[in-house]
Amino acid sequence: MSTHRSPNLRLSSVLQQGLVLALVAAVFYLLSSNAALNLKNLNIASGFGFLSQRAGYDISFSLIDYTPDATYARAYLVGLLNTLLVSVLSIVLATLLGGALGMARVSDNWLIKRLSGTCIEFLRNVPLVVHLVWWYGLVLALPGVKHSASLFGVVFLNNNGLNLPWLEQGSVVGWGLFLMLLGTLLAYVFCRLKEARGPWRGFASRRWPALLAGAVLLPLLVYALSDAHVQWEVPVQRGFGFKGGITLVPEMLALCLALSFYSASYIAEIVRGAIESVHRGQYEAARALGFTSGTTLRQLIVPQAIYPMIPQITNTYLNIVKNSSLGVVIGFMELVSSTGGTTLNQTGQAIECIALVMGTYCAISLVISLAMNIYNHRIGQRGH
Amino acid sequence: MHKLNRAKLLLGAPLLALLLTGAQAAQAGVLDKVKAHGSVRCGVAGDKPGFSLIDDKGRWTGMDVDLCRAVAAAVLGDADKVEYLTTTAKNRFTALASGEIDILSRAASWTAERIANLGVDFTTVWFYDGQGFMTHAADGIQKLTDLDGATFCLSPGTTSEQNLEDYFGRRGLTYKTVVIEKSPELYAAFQRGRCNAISNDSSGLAARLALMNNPKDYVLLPEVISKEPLGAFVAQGDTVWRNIVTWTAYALMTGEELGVTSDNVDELRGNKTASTDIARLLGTEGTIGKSFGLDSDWAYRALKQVGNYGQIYDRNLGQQTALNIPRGLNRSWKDHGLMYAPPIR
Repeated sequence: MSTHRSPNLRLSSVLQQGLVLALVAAVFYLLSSNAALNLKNLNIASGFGFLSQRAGYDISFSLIDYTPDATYARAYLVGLLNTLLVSVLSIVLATLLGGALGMARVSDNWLIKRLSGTCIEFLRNVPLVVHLVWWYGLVLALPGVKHSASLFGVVFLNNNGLNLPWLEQGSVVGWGLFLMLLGTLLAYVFCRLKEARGPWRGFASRRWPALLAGAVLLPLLVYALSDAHVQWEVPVQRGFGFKGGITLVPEMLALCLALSFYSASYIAEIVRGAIESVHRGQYEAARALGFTSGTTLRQLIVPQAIYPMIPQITNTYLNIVKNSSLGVVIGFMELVSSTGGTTLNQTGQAIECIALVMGTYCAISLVISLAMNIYNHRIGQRGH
Repeated sequence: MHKLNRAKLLLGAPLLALLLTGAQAAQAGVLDKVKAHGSVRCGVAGDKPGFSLIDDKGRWTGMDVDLCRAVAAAVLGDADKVEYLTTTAKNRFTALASGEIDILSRAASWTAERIANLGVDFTTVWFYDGQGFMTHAADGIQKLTDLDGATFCLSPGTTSEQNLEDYFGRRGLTYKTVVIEKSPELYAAFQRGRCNAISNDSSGLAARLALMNNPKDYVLLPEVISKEPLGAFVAQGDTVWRNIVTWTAYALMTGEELGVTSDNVDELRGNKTASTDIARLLGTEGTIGKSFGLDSDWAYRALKQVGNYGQIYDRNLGQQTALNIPRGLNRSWKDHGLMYAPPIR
């Protein structure tokens, strides 16, 4: 598109867009003011003031300190973190699993190819809710607390969850994560500086060993220098359940497994499609040059296949985040169960709670889209 | 003919109504709307045995259902002119306040917070309940405090989460919760040992226990930790409609008190020697029905077609039913219960 347009044309285009924007804003204003008026006429309380009130309900799994004495705002934060945790775990697991299944699907080995094909078809053609109920049923079929399966006496699995050893000082975990992030960042800056100075060495320059070292070394260094004393706490059976350590509740396990397996089947198909989209001639050329099939895949096919994968994988990730709201079916306290469920019910402020939930999902999705777009852009610059 | 309308209200519908409807239109009288529409739109739970459930013949049955049927009989002359809409714990009050339903008869508790914040009005108590607990018999739990550190299965949106915190939190006892919205999944999780106890309205627990395959494996604890006065809600601001629903319920209670049943109501109405209380109730004396905006036969039709409160209770929860919930507080005041209708005169 030409940038040298007549000022008149540009002005009219700005005016048109401004008009549309004003129209949209007016419709939104009309809807919200109408709703506010309706609520007032119906004597329904409105506003977000309830967020600072005491929540008064328990959330069984929380990454941060939470008691029923905390506020509705804190309950919202707990729900949000639970949603993010399940989403991140499921995205990682689904990507690994889906990648493996997709690669197996294009394998030359007949058995592996058929097996993974059957797996994908089975996983993909069962609705997610059925996956969820099935996994939840399976987790609940584990032995009870008194007959927990134990691994070396420190890890316990039963139908009330997976009990793992955890750091005694919970706040250390946050600091550790922060230092890991900082270490990675420092290592990245270091790599960039070094690459800028040194000679150009093609695409082969590998940053990840340096990044990993940064992520591991900085926390260790800080720990060694500080007088902090971190101890592991092993779960012990007491009363109705386990004391100490951290308990991954069955609802979370079932939700993660269901989301991962269901989404892995989609990712597998995306991977297969992308790999098959690479021109046949590329394989033949690689073979002619004497590449092994593993090297062909790693060095030639996958780098070319990643580009068309990104938009579809982004969609799948977004779906995982949004589908995590199905946790409400099996009682996992994520965003929809906490703010969109119990908080909504206790305060009765449906519009505010639903708006909060919708806004949050929208924000998470936009952030994921942005990150994937940046990645996509970078890959696009590199190869094509 | 029973109208089998299994429409399911989603949360979006009432919210959309709030967004889109003109603010002034909301003030039309519910009675006129019901008459024009030819049926009472009744919001029920739809999955609560003894209160609202579709039976094996495809008919709606239960205490909550019968209240709506009585109102339809009083207002429209036919107890079958009810349109049932299943509501969830989440959308029920919004659906009522925005006019999607005319009556919310869903075993909902009467609390100050709901009246103050939700734009709804309570009619009268239709069933006195309280929050109870069911445990696994194998755990040998005798009393509630034995459950320190236990996991509880709860349904959301009911007052049970707050009640549990009020009872356990205040006593310094620890507990965990699993909150599942749908009753079948909730009870399944409890039965499979995910929770040490399940907490809900006592009547609901008793009803579920009666329908379980192995009722001996579970125990109802004697403690009741809250007051749950259940009954029908209507939208705020329509006194005419609120009076009709409230006094239809009172008429059914008065019917039991005076010994008027669906079987003898015709006989009593023709009987000139019947007491003046009965004559006023059945509309052969006075003009109460007309003052409510109905006709003088309103209570007669409700009693004739649905039966008095005692008959309704026996049919849905009484000894002949599988649920067999003792009447307890829900006896008439004459039998030392709490069912006390103001005089109809």
